[in-house]
Amino acid sequence: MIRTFLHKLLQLVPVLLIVSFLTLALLELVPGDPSISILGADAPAAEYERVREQLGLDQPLLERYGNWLSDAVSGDLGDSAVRPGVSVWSLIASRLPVTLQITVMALGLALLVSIPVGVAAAARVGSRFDRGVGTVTSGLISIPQFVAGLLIVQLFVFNPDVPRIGTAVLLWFVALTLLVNWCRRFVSDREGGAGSVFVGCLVLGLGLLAFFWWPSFPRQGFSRLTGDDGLAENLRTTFLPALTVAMSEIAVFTRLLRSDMISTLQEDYILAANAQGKPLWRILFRDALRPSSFSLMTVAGVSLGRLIGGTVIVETIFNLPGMGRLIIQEGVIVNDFPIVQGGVLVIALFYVVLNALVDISYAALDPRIRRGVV
Amino acid sequence: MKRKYSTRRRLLAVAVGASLVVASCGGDDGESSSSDEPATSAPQATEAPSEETMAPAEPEAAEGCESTVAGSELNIGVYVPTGSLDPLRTSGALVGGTDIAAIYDVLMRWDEASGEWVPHLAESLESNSDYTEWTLTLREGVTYANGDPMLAEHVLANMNRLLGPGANASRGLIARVDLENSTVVDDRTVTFKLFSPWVEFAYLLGDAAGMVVNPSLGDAKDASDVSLISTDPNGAGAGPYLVDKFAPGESPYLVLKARDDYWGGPVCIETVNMVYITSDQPKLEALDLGELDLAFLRTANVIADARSSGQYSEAFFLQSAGEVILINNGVGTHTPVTADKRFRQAVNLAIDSSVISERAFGGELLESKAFIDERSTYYSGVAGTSADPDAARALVDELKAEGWDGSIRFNCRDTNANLPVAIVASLEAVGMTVEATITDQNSSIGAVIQKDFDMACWGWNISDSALYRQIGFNFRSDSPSNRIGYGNPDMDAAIDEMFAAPDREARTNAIAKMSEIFNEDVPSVIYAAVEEGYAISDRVAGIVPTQQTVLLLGDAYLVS
Amino acid sequence: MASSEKRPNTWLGALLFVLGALSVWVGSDLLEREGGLLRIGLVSMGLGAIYVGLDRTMWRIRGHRVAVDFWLSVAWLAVIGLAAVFADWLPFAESRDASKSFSAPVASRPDLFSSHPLGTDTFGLDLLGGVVYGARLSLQISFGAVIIGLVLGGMLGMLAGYFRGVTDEVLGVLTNSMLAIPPLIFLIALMVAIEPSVLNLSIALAFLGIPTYVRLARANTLVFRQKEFVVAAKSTGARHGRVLIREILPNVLLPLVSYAFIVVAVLIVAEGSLSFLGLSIPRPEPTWGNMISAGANDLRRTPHLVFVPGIVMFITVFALNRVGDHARQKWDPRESRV
Repeated sequence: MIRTFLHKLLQLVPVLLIVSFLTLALLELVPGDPSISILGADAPAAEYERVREQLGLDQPLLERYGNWLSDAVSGDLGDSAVRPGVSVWSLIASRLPVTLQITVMALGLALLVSIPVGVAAAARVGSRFDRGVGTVTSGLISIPQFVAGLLIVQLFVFNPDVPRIGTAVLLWFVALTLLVNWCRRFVSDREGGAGSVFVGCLVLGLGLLAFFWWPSFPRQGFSRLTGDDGLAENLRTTFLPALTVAMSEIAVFTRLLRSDMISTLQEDYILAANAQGKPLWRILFRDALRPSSFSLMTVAGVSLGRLIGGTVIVETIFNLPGMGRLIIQEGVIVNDFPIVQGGVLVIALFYVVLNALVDISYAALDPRIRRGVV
Repeated sequence: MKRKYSTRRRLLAVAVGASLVVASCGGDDGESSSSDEPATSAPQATEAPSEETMAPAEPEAAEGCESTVAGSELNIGVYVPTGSLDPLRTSGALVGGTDIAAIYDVLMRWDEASGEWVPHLAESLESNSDYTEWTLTLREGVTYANGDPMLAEHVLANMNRLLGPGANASRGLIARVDLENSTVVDDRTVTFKLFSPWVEFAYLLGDAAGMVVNPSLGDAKDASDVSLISTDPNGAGAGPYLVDKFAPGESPYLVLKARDDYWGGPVCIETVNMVYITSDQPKLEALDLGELDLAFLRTANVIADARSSGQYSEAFFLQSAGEVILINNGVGTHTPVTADKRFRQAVNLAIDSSVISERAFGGELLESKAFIDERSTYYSGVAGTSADPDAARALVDELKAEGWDGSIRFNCRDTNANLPVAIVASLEAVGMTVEATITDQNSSIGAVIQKDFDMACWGWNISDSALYRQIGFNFRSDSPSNRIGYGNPDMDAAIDEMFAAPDREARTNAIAKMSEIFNEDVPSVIYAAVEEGYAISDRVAGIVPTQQTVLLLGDAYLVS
Repeated sequence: MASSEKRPNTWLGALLFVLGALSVWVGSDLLEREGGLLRIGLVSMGLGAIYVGLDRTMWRIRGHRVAVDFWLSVAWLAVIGLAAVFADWLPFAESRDASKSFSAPVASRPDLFSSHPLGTDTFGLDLLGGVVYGARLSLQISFGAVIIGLVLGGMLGMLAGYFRGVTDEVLGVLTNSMLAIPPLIFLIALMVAIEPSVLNLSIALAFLGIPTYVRLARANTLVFRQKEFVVAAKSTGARHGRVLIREILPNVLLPLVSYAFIVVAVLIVAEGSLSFLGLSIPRPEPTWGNMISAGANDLRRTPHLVFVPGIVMFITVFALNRVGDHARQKWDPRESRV
């Protein structure tokens, strides 16, 4: 295992080199240069030349890459070209937490919804519920993120009663189902079931909470955790963007978990447990979930890495100061190449490290891979 | 594992049905009431969207409070955030104008209602009889935020500072001032000498040159040769606010805190947040929801929405020649036909403002083909050229017969996706073949700056307050900002006449001459005037707009 | 664990179907006027009723459960596909050239029996034609990207999986690099740099999908290279090329192709996102993405500009997902466990 770990780590270096070089090469193709962003439209022509020289834009590509690389290796990502005196690192340090928070919240939301739904769908394969879940997840994947964002804004911000009532009704319905199940438990003579009551009451409480204390969500903006208003305000401003990102992840996770659970539930030991009369929820969550969740965990881990670079759209719609907007609006569009270089490097680093961790943990958990059988 | 589905299904159906019914009864006001009303008539009943209809006019000083109201906050949604707080390095006006005015204050301000420049931080500004000498007197006891007194010599020093390397565009106008021979009379008085008569010298003192930087702090630079006051100007300005936080890219990108010893009395609103939201529609939404108190708007149909909601007072400014198709008159790289007046005339005749308005601006464009729009107070009666596609086609055929193949290039920015389509459609309908390049704003500006374009989307933004600056900049044959290579000695003479015009009537006469020369030469095609400015929530009063959409916040207060 | 139910009542299915159709008609008629959530509710319930009704009716007729969603999806895709192919011959009003639509009404609402059944946009261009031409472009771009990706990615993946060793290592590094570049940022930067045409978009989007195809092909190759028939072929002295093409390729192709349906769906959505950011084919040439993004600015006044292309796009992507799911269930060896 140490060998695989070192192996992965070694792969990091050429990957990052290739990524950063490709980025600089790509930026060469992007038209325009930062001098216009710095000087505006009204300066005399000689000024633009002077600025371009100052920024080293007349040097050949390899030389510029070499300069940047030698600095980057020692941790210096340079200063912004358009905003002199502002270091790229400080910009990234202030934007990365925002993107990370949205991504982590989105994944958390996605897992929170997809695990119970996926398990329930797998438990009742072929039923109406299962087919409904399949349809809904297909639907969620079919909505582009920007449309989802616009719809969520229309719903949650301008028509808040709809999601409020809808969520409350849904939660009450789920609670009702669980409690009815529990009653049936007594009738059909299976042991246990106390968990159902507990969860059922919890969900009922959540439904009441949703109905009476539904927060109002802002159309845009971001309130920092360390800011004056603390956690509550921060969550209020990050919930809708996180939800937008979570929409398609929920669909993907649900389908993945469902298909893995279905095959696990056909294993012999599950049939044995069922024959022994173990309660359903225990079989599902204790015995079947863990082996089925490998794929889910790997996909979630990989999604985390992937999503960090993919939040541009929600950041635009909700006006969040995140990495996506930093790289695109404050980087690519105004040709501020140190920002783009630094930002892409950090995201790529995240992705590669996360991937490596996921691969390693996968190998650690699944003995078949560890022993090189698969 | 058989289940009874029927009970469950019934429950679900009831739940879904109930929630839909409740929701549609309760929350159906998603369709706003303004959707089907003709948006042109606003309850505030402004006949024409001219500057006169602004709600907060001249506020009395210190009306709003006895002292700074603790916890009070103002949220302003700006056009574009500034990257620097040094007047030398900002473009001012739309980009950071209000920000730096709050930090440094201005010597003179533009009063839209009377159409005159009035003293603000200055006590008075007087000229001699032929407008070549101007005497400025400062108020008593004005201090910078760090306690240093403001002296008359600082104003001269400030002008010199603005001539240094940097970005500011005032340089061209400061060049009209004979700084060497201008004299400091005493601590509060300075006399400026000009190289040639300039009636509206006050403009200069309302722009960057009037935002006086404390000389003891203005020269300090950091390791990369950037002035320190770019990011931390506290102490360098005499304005009502201090900088609490400056973080470009965040939102708010600038947080200002009220100052104790402002010359204009107590500063009522404690905190001002400058917020950047990319486009106008979300800004209006944020204003509707109370997340913003002021929203800068520039898009015609969004302004119409703001007006028709009836909830806001407004501070909008008219810009003649706000939307222009800039045509290369013969500099740099261009298709030769653009230098031919008949081509430009053909484009002028092919463009119909009402068609562009309908197709790209939701019908809300301020249609105008005149050099100075009829809604401006300086309208001289000279109208623009109406569209005539048949005449346009005739000219195009004539040019084609002489060897032109009909193809032409066109650059436009991507902010309004429908605009270039509408323009290209109009031109192709008269027989041209247009090769359109749609890019981000910087690149499309870049093509013009590098003088490699045939036609480009542009705006000359000739507002009443900045008449001299904009006209001089863009139309003088010797101006470095004249991007199209337009030069006509008659036009230069008319511009000089305007600079020397002693009263409004003389000014309007000069403008009439310019308009006629413009219509004759057709250096480019104007198709709309633009309104830009702020929609202001009812919670706020005491906002004083000055030139080019800059707001003065010293007297602002929250109405409770 | 399939559920078994009794055969449904004949008339219930048909009744639901008729009621549903009525509900949709009434609901969409209200599209002409305001009505907001009520109309949405009516139309959704109506559609649901139609679906259930159809399901039960077909069940009754055929005697066993019919995968109604699959067949509806296929039908929709067929209609869209045929319309896209024959677009030039269909009698649409002007839908692509803004210089010819000056006389058409601007931003008119859908009116099913007029010459503009789905309405017009701000240039007077017909939306029905726009949606069909948009389908053509979207499908061209997506299929182009998928084909390029399949060919390149599949080839590279097969080589990596078959030869292993250094080839595998190098390709692994390259694949990881391509995956490590944040995709949206890469796309945006690329499209800012090059001109947005069908070919360029196909190549750009293909670039994003190649790593996944490589992994998929490689994984499947790894599975198959150890199978008996491959070992047999090699032991009889067959050259590598022959083994790859004759034995491995046919088995790898099927899972790849089944995955392709879903990828096409994802790419159609990706093109929409690019249009939203202004980086796809520019107007007036219609793509679904640029129609939605042009309408998004004025959502409150002219919602049909967003909903008409949006709904068509949604249904198409949905249908592709459904078909892809079924295809994968049948052809992907890893999926066909259920």
